[in-house]
This record gives sequence, C-alpha cells and structure tokens, in this order.
Amino acid sequence: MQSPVPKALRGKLLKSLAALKSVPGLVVDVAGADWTDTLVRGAPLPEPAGLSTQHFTIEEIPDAQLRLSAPAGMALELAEITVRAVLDRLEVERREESLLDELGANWESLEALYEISTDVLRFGDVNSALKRLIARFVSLQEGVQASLMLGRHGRLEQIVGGEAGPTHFDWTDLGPVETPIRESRATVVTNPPDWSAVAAEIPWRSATMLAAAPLTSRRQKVIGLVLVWREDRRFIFDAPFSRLLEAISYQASMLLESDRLNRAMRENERLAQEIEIASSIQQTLLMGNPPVGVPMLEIAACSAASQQIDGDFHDFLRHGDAVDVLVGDVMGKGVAAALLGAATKSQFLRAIANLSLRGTTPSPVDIVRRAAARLTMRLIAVERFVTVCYARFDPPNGTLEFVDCGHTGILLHRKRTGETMFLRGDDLPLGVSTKIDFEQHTAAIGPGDTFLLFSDGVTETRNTAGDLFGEERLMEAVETWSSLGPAVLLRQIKKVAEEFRGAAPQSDDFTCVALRIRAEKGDDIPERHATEFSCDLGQLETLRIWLNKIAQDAGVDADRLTRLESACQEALVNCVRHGSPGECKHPVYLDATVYKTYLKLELRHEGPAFDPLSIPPPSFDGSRDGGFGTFIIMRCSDELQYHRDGEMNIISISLFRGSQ
Amino acid sequence: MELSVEKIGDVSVAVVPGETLDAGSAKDFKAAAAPLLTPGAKVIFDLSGLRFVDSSGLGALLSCLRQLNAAGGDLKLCGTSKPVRALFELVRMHRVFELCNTKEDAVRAFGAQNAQA
Repeated sequence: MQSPVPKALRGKLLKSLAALKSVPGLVVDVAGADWTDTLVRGAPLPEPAGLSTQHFTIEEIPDAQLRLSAPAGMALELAEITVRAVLDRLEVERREESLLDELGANWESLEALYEISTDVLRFGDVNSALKRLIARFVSLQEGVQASLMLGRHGRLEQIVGGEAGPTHFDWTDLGPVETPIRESRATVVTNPPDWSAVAAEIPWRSATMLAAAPLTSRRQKVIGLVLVWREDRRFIFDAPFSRLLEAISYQASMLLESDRLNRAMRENERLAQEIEIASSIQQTLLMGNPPVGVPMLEIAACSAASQQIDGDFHDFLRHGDAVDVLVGDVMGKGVAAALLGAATKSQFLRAIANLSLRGTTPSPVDIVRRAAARLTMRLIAVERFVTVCYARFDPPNGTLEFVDCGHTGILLHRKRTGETMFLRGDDLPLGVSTKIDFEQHTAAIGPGDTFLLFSDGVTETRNTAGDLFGEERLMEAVETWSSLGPAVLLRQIKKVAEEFRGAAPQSDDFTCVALRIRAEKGDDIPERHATEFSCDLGQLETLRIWLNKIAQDAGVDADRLTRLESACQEALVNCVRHGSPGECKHPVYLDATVYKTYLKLELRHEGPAFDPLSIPPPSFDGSRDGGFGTFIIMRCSDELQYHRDGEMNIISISLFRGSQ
Repeated sequence: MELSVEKIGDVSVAVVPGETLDAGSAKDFKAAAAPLLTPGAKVIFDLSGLRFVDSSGLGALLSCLRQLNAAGGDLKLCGTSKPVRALFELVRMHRVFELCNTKEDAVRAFGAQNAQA
C-alpha cells in the first residue's frame, strides 16, 4: 500500500530536484506525478543517447518515475546520493506524520465519541451525532466524500451525506463494495467499475476509488456501512486510512448501539445492555496484547469485566529487550468510565510517540508527565480521576523503573531469596491535583523474579460474608504458582479469587498482568547427569544421595539443596503412587543439567496423565493428611514445567544455584 | 520400625528412628506409633535424628496428632533440624503442631498446661 505525500513534503522533494537541474549535463525527469509540472510535464523523455542513466521508483509517489541521466559518472553519482537522502528523509517524515495523524485522530475521535455519547444521552439525537463524527473523519483527508447508510426494509437509507441527492439506495448500487460489506468486511476498491449502467443517481458514480467498512450490531449483524470515495487520484486509500475508517465505523456502530440502548433504557433494559457495550469497549480499546518472544521475559495478562465495568486498562510497549507496562483504573463505572480509560490510554500512547520523535527512548517519568499535562485539566473538568502505574522492565540492565500514581503497586516475588514484597510509589492519581511532577522509582531485578500488576478489583473481591480477598491471599497465590510461569499463575489467581467469591457478585473489573524474568541460559557448556530408578519407594534414599552429590558439586547452598530434594522426592513419589495402576513396571528416568546460574532436573515416567494443577490444594489447618506433595513441588521449584510426550509424563524442575 | 519410648511423668517421649520420615517409612512409623495413641495420652515425638521429612511423613505425624486430639490427648514435637523445620514452615504446619526446641522444653510445656488446667 502506498500513501500520498503530504503537501509540505512534496515541496521539499521538488526543491531538491530543482536544485539538481542546475548540475551541468544532468537531466532530471519525473514522469507520472501530476503535481510535478514545474519540472517536467507530460510523457517521459526518450532515453538520452550516450548518457549513463539511473532510475528511481519513488515509493511515496504513486505511479511516478524519476530518472537521472548524465554524461559522466561523478555528476550522476552525486545526484543519486542527493536523491536517496531526500527520499530517505521523506520516508521518515511521512511515517512520523502518519503515526501522529493516526494517534491524533484516535484521540480526537475518542474525545468526540465521549462528548457525542453524552449528547446522545442528553438529547437523544443520534443522527446529528453521526454527522459530527463523519464530518470529523472527512476533514482528516482533503477531497474525501462520505456517506453513512443503514439497512432498512431491504434497501439502504442514507443517514449522513448527499444533502441534495436521493436518500435511498439499493444494495446493488454499492457495486464491488456490496459483497464484502454483506460479509462484514472492510474493503478498498481502487478501480471501480463503470457506473453508467446503474439507473439511480448515485453520489459515488464519479469515484476513482472507494473504501467501505460495515456497521454492526452487538450481535455482529451488519446493519449498514460507511462508504467513502474520491473523485481524483491524488491520494490512495492506504492501510492507516482503512484502519481509521474501521475505527470510525466501529464508533458509529457504538453510537447507534448506544442510541438503541437509550431507547431500551426506558424499557428497563439499560443495565444489561450497557454492560455489553462496555465489555466490547473493554476488550477492543482498553486491553493491550502482551508482547511475545522477548528474551528473558515472559508476560501474560487477563481481564474480566464486572457487571458494571469500571474502566480498567493496560497496554504494553516493547523497546528492544525491555518492555513497558501501563496499567490503570478509572474512578467510576459504566460506558463513561470505559471511554475515559480508552482516552487516557491513547493519551499515553500519544505522549510516547511524541517523546520518541526526539530519537531516544523517553523515561517512564517523562511519559507520565507528558500524558498528565494533557489529561489533568480534562479529568478535573469532568470530575474524574485515574490511577496509573507505568513500569519499564529491563532484564538485560537488571532494572525496573516505575511511576505509581495511586495504583495498587507492583507485587514482587523473588525466587532467589524467597521474599515477597510490594513496590509502591506515592504519587496521586491523575485528575486529583494540578501538580504534574512525579517520582520515578528504580528497583534491581533479576532471573526468578515474578511481578504482578493488578487492579483493585482483585484484592477487593468479596465473598458472601463480605470479607476481602486481600493482599495476603494474593501474595500467597504468587508464591505458590509463580514457578509455573505467568500464564498459569494468572489462571490460578482468577480461579482462587472466584472460588473465594463464591456466590457473591463480581463488583469490580478483575485485571492482572504478570511478568517473569527467565533464567539466563548463558553461553556456558552445561554439565549433564543421567540416571534411572525402578519405580519403588525403596529408591528414595538412592535418589537423594545422587542429587546431593550433583548439587554439592555445583555449589548449591544447604537451603536450596533441601528444596531440591523435597521437590524431587515428591515428584518421584507421585510417579510411584499415581504413575500407573497396580504394580508399576516402568523405570523413572532422571536427567540433571547444571547450568551457570541454575540446575535443571527432568523426570520422565510412563503412566496416565498427571496434571499438578488438577490436585486440590492441601488444607493448612491440619484436618487432612494428604495433598501436600504437589504444593511442595510447586513451592520448592524456582521454575516448574509439566508436559506430556506420548505416554510419558515429563516434569522439569529448575532451581537457581545461589541467591545472587 | 521400633520406637524407643521414655516415660517422663505422664508424658511419653518417643524417639523417631532413622534420618528420614518419608513415603518409604511413613507406613511403618504409623504402625509403630499406634500403641502410644491412647485416650488422653500426652506424647512427644523427638525428631532430632531426622534430616529429611516429606509430605507422607508429615501426613503420618498429622494423623497421630488428630487421633490424639480426638481422644483428649495431645502431641508435641521437639528437636526439628533446620531442613525439617523449613518444610513445616513451607506447608504452614508450624501453626498446627507445637514445635519445641528440646525434649525438656516439650515436657515443661505439658507441665505448664497441667498447671493452667
């Protein structure tokens, strides 16, 4: 996809080319771009005889060809370098512009939506709200025309656009756009057919290109479309443009939905339906996708909207091997809170984009300051506030930098020392005070650290007796399941919190982000040991002796050795007891690998599937004898993995060799 | 397995033999301890010889505690080595069992209970 060159940039290109024309003997020929008429007009010149020639395709200018020709190598080479530099700069500027446009447009439209939604609620005039929305969109690109149509009684009724022309159309009047829209797909058509056969006086009959995106109901049914077109070829409908069009259509769908709900409100359906809107906002606008494939970092996120959504949001940004995590929570509930959450998030993204243009990665405190400068007065005006935590995890540098504005803090469990603690800042939530000075905190981090960022909906989960889930249960959950990695940890936290809540209603959004710093494999050559045991309890002593020898040679300290022995012993006992029904004949294979910083043990045993998470947790009041084995394996391992290979259960247990 | 039992007043002090109390020995231990678990009995298990206890060993001790408590008796443990103590703390059993440093401390703890009662 190509995108048009903004006017300012065309000027720069033309100026550079004009300067080249004064180089003696150099022929500059730009063909195909209709705005370059100050240089060369019309058909390309014939290839000049006896001259060396260099051709350029200019990606930013559709259909344009640039040709430089010169008698000697030097002039041509110089001209070539100049042109390449100009094109490179244009490309960078174009990207920056389109990024800013896109972010700016998102913010504007979110704000528009927020205002307009409020208007709809107040005046119930959805049509004028839609007109304003489309007008804002159209103003983003010169020469674009737009029409918003809704399907009614098998035809299309135009709600926005074409003031003078007809108001009703047939679906077939859409031409090549009809099928994708009926199938709920956005589409771009750059070579529209000849419309002369179409009888109706359709506004887009002179279009040279068309783009359309469907409007959908909350049940994903197509209810109409937004159609845009141009009658020239000055700009192409490119990928960012299509994304914007889809975003606008999505927002128009929500406006229509909100209007419909508004009517339904009078029929006492308001609550249930608002939740659906809010949840769809939450899933699409409020939650980010954790990056994958970051060396040394594993990241997972989970969220569950409550019955009255309260505007939790999160997002992730990767800078090389470091990852920024933004989490936040808007005071208040409902669609307004969700929209404000989306607007806050977009303001942070905009702050990051703006600051990044300086060429260096901005610090968390700079980002928070910049976003707060734009947000604070707006939040104060609408009497809302937002708690935010912005954290940068940089495992290669061993640092965590964060700014905590009244959020829940960062829960840290350190496998190397067994400590569990909260990292907190003491800045106020955004929108509480006009002060926009914030404090950035730094903590040393390393392999085996698990971090949890969460919304207050987690710790404030209440059971039927009115007790809070609380920080202590959350800390315990992290201590118990962090060895299995962030994804399993979040699943388990959600599960125990739900079990705790029981029949009580979920009153708040439940949002968690977990990160773990993996052990470094390093470039050392690991030392491997392998053995096998017959499946019988009499072998436990032999196992411990074998392990002791390896661990002591590896310099594992006494406390860790005990943990290692405990975890392996329980794993082996599991194999014997649950490995196979009746007498167990299969041996248990054991591999121990000693890496620079940690020791990894793998047990393999043939038998029915064993999933440690399927075992109910032990009771800690002494009322039951059993259930401790799996708990001990999870708590004593620094990293634990379970998987199955054919008929084999494979359990791998890793432990750091020391606490440093 | 045989437990050597010493009677100090009305308290029975049994030394748990061997270095480990685990899945391999828990069953034997339960059988050997059964005669001590009479109604109203005051029992101390001296664990000072143990270097390693696993979940099965813990389960055996818990089973003894519950049987004694159900019949008006009580159980205290003494002489837990560092790794054994660490396991008790990991599974929070230090809140369920009374762990005394030495045999004498445990006997005194029973005496104090009598004085209070």
